[in-house]
Amino acid sequence: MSQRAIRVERAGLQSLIVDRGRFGFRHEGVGWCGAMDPYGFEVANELAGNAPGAAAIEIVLGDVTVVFESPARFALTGADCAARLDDLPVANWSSHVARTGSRLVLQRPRAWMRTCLAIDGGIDVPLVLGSRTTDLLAKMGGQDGRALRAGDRLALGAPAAAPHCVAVDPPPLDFVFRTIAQPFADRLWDREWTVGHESNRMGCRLRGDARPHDRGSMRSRAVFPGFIQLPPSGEPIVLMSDAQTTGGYPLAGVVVEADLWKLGQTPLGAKIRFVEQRL
Amino acid sequence: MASFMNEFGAPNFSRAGESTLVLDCGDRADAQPHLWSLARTARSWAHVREAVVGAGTLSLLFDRNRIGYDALRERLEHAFLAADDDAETPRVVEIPVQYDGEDLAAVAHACGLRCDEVIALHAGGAYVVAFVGFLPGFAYLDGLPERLQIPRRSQPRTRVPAGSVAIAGAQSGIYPFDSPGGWHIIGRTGTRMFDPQRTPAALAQPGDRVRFVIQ
Repeated sequence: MSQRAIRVERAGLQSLIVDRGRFGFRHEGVGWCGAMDPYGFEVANELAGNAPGAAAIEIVLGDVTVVFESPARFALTGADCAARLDDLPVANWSSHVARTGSRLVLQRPRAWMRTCLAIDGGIDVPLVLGSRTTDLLAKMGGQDGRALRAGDRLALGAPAAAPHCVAVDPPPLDFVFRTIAQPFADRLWDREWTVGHESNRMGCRLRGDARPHDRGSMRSRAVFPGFIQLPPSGEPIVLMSDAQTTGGYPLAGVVVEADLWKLGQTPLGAKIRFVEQRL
Repeated sequence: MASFMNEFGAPNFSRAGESTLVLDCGDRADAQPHLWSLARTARSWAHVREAVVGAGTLSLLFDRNRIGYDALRERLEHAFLAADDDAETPRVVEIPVQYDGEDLAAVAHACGLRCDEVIALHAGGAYVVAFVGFLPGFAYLDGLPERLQIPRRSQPRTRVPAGSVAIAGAQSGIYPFDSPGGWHIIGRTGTRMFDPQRTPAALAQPGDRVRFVIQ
């Protein structure tokens, strides 16, 4: 029997095989590189009937086509790409069934940044240091450590059981981030920040009413996704999934874990705010 | 490790965000071996997801559903008092280097040395891996001879090639992957600093001695 698989016909801007992340190796300099929208990722797997944490595809701004080479259940969450399966509309945040030869077409979304496509059985790429997620920097995990390309054929794991639920309401998305104060926190509050266009999976770079500081850098120490660094320009950088493991800039705050998914969905150019959350 | 405490006072614990505990030993160079050993101990605790050593610090990312900050702090404090510095004979990692880096002449100029003197000084240094971070397998090496210590480049490069041997401040390092970087490139090596198929994946581990060999 040939293995269950899908084929990528159009790969979009940046489509990556992701899971929850590559944990436990930050002391060797290895970043987590998990899904940028962990909420959408978990829900997509649930709707596809997968075990939690199965590898899925995270798509930036749509424009992707995949062809199913075997029957499969799949689910889409996150940015709504007005998806069609063989020309029939398929709802976002819902579970669907594709036949052999079915073609799933995603368009560019009008809002949000990322769409998660989970397929039953999960994307079956080898585990690297305990994870299937793509590390673009170390070129490991996922599909040979790179973004998907047209022509890629991705094997699927063994089909899963039927899902417990087949549709959920999308979570409300706002751009207000609850943040735990760190020594430089007074520079964060009471102003709007614009998400800079050079933001990426490593960090969300903010522009706005920044006060430069001359504290330079401190002794390098561990940093994690959600940490808000303050380089001398005073323009904060919120560390994201692919963040480096150590850094020397002063800290202004730490975004609460429950709000991080929203940052993965915040479009470039959007205005965001931080509000203080006490522990 | 009572002497450690008596001599230097109590360590400083703090919390960063919901799930990170930071132990800060300040600027003392002799704290580093203690932190390596403590990190290994903490990594074996079920409720610790990451234990990362920095310069004079140890950060633990903990599972909030399994342990609270105060309980973890207490446990780390006990381990801190009980832990010994690494007693094992340190491993020596040899790195063959071709000293033909883009910044070699500029470094020589900034240090008031000839290029061959820079090379002899750098290759003659006795280096210790202080910690690993920034990139997979990037080892921060203490032990750069004083005469080679200059600030990092004012303008960082957007791409430093993998294998670049570089210096900045009091440290030397080897870029395991192409990446942006602000250190001065003085040479290159073909040695693979990080290989996910290897255990451990990073070639140079905290506490290892590193020797650069002129090729």
